[in-house]
Amino acid sequence: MAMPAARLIAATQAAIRAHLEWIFRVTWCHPGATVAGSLLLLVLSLTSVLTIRFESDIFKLFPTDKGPLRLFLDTLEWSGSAGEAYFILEGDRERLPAGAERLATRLRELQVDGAPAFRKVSYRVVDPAEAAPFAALVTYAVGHPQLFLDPGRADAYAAYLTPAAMDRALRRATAELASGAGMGMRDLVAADPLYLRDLVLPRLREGSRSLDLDPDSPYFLSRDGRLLVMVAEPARPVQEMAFARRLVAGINAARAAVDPRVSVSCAGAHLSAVIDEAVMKRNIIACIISSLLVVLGLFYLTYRRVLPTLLIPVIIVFGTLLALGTARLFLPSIHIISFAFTALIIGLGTDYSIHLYDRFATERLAGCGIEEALRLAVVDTGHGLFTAAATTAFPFLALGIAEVRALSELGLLVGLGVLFSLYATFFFLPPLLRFAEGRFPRPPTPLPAFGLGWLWRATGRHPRTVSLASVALTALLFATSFFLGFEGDLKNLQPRHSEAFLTQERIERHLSLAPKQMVVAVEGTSLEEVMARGWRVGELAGRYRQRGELAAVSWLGQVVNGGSGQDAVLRRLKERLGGSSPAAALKDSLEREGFDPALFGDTLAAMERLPAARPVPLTEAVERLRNSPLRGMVERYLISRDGKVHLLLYLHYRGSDFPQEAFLRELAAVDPTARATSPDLISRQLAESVRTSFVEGFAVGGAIVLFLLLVHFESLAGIAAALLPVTAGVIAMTGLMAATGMRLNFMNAMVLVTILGMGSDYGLHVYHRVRGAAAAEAPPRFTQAGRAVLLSALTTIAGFGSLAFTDYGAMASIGWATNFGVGATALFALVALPAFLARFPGKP
Amino acid sequence: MIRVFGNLIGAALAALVLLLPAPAGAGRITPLEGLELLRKGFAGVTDFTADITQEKQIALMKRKLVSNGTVRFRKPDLFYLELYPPHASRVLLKDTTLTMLLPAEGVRQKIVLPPEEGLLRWMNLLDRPVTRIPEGVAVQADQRGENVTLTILPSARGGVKELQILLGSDGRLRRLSIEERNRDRTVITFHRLRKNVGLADRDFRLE
Repeated sequence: MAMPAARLIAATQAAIRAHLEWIFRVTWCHPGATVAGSLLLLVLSLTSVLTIRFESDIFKLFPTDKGPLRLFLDTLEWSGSAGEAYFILEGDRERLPAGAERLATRLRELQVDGAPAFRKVSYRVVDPAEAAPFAALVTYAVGHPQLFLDPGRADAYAAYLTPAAMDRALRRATAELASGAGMGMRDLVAADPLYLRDLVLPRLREGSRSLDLDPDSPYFLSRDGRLLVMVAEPARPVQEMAFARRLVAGINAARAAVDPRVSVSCAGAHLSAVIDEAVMKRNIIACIISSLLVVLGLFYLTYRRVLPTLLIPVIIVFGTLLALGTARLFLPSIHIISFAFTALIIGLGTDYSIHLYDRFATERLAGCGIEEALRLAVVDTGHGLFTAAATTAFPFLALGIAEVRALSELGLLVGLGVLFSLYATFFFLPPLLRFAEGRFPRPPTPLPAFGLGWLWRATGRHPRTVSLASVALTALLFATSFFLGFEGDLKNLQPRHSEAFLTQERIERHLSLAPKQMVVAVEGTSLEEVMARGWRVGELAGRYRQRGELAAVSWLGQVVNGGSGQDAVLRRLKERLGGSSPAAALKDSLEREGFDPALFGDTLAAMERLPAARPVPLTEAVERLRNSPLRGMVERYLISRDGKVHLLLYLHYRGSDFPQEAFLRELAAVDPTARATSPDLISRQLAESVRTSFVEGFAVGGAIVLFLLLVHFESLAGIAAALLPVTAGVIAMTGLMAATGMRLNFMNAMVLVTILGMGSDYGLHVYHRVRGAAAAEAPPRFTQAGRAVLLSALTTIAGFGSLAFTDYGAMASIGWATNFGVGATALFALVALPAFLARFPGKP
Repeated sequence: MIRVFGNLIGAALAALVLLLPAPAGAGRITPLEGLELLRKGFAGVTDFTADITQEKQIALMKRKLVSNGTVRFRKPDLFYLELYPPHASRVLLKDTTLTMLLPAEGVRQKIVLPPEEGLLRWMNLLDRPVTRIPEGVAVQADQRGENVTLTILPSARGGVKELQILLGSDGRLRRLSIEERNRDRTVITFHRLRKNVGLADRDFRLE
């Protein structure tokens, strides 16, 4: 080893020892001042903690300043759907409209703070109140075929303009007007007596379709008739939590008034913010309490001492509050999921009390006085704890540099929590033990060995067999780990029983045009510019549609013709009409069939213009649609914000049928500035972010762990002993995940980093106690360290186990992955490591 | 309801009134009595059929459309109206689902109405005694000589301006007239009404 490195290691060793000696002196000589100083820190932390703002939006866990996720969030904001509330009514088809009517009435009447709670409530495809504007749009659309007619249907349009066809259309109109349903037909007959709308409206309807609805129903009703969607726009944004809470209370009252045979579920930002957050908080608190009870139970059952047991929650609360208070200095807000990870501090923070108390109790049993037993616990075992805490905390803290917020916050909180828990243990436990021994003296009693002495002897008798079995088991799980897949779908990381999540899933299942959707944004400074570029992108998407690789494509260009489309329609109509005058023919036909031509002025004027019609500016068409009942269609495709025009094209696809890579390459060639987003692209972006964070975290965390182990043991043998169990543990973890059908995801991938720091402790403690021990001393030393390791593993599993049972898929997967990893690492540290130490004495 | 299918529902309600006996004795009649008279006519009727003559003056047309046809009703929510050539049409309303067939043109259309426009809702209203004038309408009842005229005036929101039911001295309805705000006017005269004849599903088929 080079001299400077050796000097650095020696200096670090000396500094740590001096630091631990200082801690022992302070806590032994000035216990009151120690507690007072700690309380002052606690008060300062509490002040900081009270200013923390918690967030629950899952997308805020990831970098959102660029890429597909940025565009996805932009589209949510542009469409306003990010702030809308969705209601799903389920039940018999016959009951749904009445249920919807009742719910809509209640929602429209709902008041919050004396003002209407919702700006708009929609559940009908066309509002009956908009019959007149719809008729006006029909008049305009059929009178401007160059804009709205599919160029391929120009011949059909011309065929409607022959005198015989006009007579037939007017006889049909007469029969409809005379019929029992005539009153509903009158406005449309007046708007379009020739039924040219039969050629135009299907295209407009298809273009305005964003959901797969029953075409015969006037409601947002699924084709199977089992599900009706209602969309409501809250009057105030989700950030106003007081409003959101009262709104949700009002919504709950409104849906309670609906026929009980119709079930009503909700989704939307306001509901998520209030309901999901509350459920999530309850979930997390329940987990924290349950894991705390398990941890305290384990500790008490092992050591049978009340005061040290009661000190554990104090240490954990102290460590957590200091971690949160310190983190607040760096973070303006903390995500609720990151906060949930503080549950890990319960398991990790308890480890230090276990090791410290175990050593103290063991030395007391061996006949040491209180001061000597405490000195050995703080200074000698404390050295192991210091290294162990550092190897746990620094890989977590290394995640603080991750660009993925979920990881940086988790790393910061847990890393700080571990360090503060260690110091809380150092500062609180010795004074408490001194107080307890003085106030409630009792003779030391033997501690349970959990069969660890037998285990040491057994592995020592058959080191070769145990070593080979360990290697074989690791190899088997290593092979299994190759079957571990990656879960890229964010949906599966969300709360599995959240009402908002389940509602969204039902909408997708019953009403989506295709399972997945890619949105392409063409952006520029004018409508003409983005439409001109949009047609090139539309043509590209059209080729994929023709090949069946896309299920559907929808954008404004499918509804409105561009320059070339308009020219094509007009050219063909002129050819077909020749020199005839459709206006004169229509006037004659109206007269013949008994209609009053004076009441069809708009249609006659349009027919008059038709032979000499010219292309219409797109801005006029867009403006017409924007002021019609189909305005929602325009708002879906075309957004103007901050002087920029964003044209959106929706590409619906089934899955792997759509070669996204090839499409994106072609898209870049057609329009280099176009942006695209889809669930797959978002997953890929997030995976890339997590991968980068993982590599950085692994490199930094791994280097820190190696350095700390080197400082601690000053030998490669010690490093190997510390890393052997955790390496095998990580392999076992991935193998077990594959065997149990779990998949790696954005969140549990980070366990591969954090387990390195946590798992290396086990080998470290075992090797720290048994290295250099005489043959007779080794078994009790192994029993003491092994007992602490076993309890540490169990308390860590209790802490992570609480996560495994949360509703949040992301947290649950982390919980299970860590439990597999910690359990396997402890097993290898307690079984395989002694065998290796026996097999290779002096060079493990 | 009144905006879109006022004449259809109006025809159904008016046909029910045909079944009524004449009001006992001549004299003044209040709007509530007039409505209650209408409601009582429904009691004990499971189905009916009648021939009609419809005269329709549509503002879009210079000439009046005169058609003969038939109406059929069966509880709880089936109504059928057929007009014979020259303007042949068949309309079937099953609560909120309306299907129209134009046999000469080969056109078939299906429309689902909102629940407030459904037939069942109106029939359910007739199950309970009328104790107050329904919201959204004003009602007048006049008795001149032996004729009783029930005039229903919907709120300004709908397309129907006035619905008038004229009962003759023999206690049977002579005429139903519907006047719309767009100046369209429909007058339906009923003949040969028969009730509880056991109408079957085949009587409500469009084809």
